[in-house]
Amino acid sequence: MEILDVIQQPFMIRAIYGGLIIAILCAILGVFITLKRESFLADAVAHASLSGVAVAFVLSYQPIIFALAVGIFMAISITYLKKNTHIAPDSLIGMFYAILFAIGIVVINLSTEYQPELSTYLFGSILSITWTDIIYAVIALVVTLSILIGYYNKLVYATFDPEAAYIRGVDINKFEYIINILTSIAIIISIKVVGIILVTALLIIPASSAKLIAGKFKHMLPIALIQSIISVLVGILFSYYFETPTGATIVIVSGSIFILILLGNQIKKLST
Amino acid sequence: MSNIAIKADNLTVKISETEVIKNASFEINKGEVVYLVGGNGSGKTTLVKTILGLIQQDSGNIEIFSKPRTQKLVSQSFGYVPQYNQIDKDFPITVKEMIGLECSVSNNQCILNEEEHLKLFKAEKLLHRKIKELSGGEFQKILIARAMITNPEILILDEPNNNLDRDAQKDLRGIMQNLADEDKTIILITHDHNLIEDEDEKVLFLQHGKLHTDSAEHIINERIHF
Repeated sequence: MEILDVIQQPFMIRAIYGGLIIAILCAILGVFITLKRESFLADAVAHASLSGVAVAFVLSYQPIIFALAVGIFMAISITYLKKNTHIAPDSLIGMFYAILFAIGIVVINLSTEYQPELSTYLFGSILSITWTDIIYAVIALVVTLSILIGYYNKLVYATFDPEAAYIRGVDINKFEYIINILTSIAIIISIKVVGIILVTALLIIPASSAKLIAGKFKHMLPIALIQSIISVLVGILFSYYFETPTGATIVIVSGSIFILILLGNQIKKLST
Repeated sequence: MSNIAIKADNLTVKISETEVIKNASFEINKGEVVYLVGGNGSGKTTLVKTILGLIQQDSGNIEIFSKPRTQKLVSQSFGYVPQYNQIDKDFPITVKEMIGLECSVSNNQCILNEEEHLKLFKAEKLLHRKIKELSGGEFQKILIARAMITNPEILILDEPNNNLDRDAQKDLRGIMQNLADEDKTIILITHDHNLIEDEDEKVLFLQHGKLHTDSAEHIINERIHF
């Protein structure tokens, strides 16, 4: 089938729209999470969301609603405890993630019915994305973009140098909650694309590539966006033609771009 | 009208249940140059971060220009030069972006643009450089320039001589002198007693969390080591 025929298939149209929106959403938030060196939080939220998905299956509710509740709960709890206790942040995240993931496994085991849709959440299935999923992603993107445009300088300063930002009057606590909650929402919404296990890659890889080549901060977001969009679109097409799992294919494409940039960077360094 | 810039009463700060600052009380007047000295780990940085509100005290009060310390008051009054290693130099940002951020989020206006301001520090050539490309001394200079772009009334410098070569240290002394002439309040944190030059200046001496007021004359003459 010709490429034009492929991308006109209804399921492919939904996959491309959904994939593009999620690529933009994850690239934006990935830049902040990566620069704050909090990639582990993203991974933990993704895994912890299994408990929400499992409970939703048992109660026959929409999994995304329960997963969102778990993700937002985790983002708020970890941010609060990090600021108000002396427990190391990585220990806090590790504990929450393990406990919530364990609850998910227990609930799935207690459920007597087989849940074929569960694999969609574990490994992703962008080709089964619905218009409702796309509406959720659009809402998350609009909220994220509004906050980014409204508070761009404060967000960047709070990410770069929180102490200096505080001294200049920025409410750094508020922005930490905002970024962590938005990241959790972006992760949960993206789970259907690449699955719980691989979703963090959508946030981290484009931002890490951008960090390698961006000279200025203002170049980071556009570079991460371009890489993210290319990875998702090429990943969807490759998965269709090679009949490979879409989420994993997207991550492999994204990872390959990162490796190419890394190699190019190293060659450039050696030649100067 | 009171002449006091910073007043602390019975300040106690605990970190992980350890009292890092114990019942510290002091006053710093407007236009004063004060050295905060003490050995490594004596609590110097903790004390200034508490003054700035970056660390909350467990007990005691802090007033800035005779008003209870608030974040707004801090942002209007202070410039802060952190220790060199507290900032992620791997962050993809240029000197211009870094100083521009300080102005863009500040309540105080920046009178000069980034380039004109850097000229005061003989650092205008660094304007478009990435911070990860700067040497230790260059970065220290940029940190000092950033803290001063909003023309704050009180400037706190944490170990400002670290990474500066002799010429840059001399430049820094000149800048401090100009600020003192403008009646700015300056707090210099150091573990290097050689930095203290003027016998008339006040010294706050931190030892095991206890704060003692000393004269610069005593520190210089006795060559006290921290």
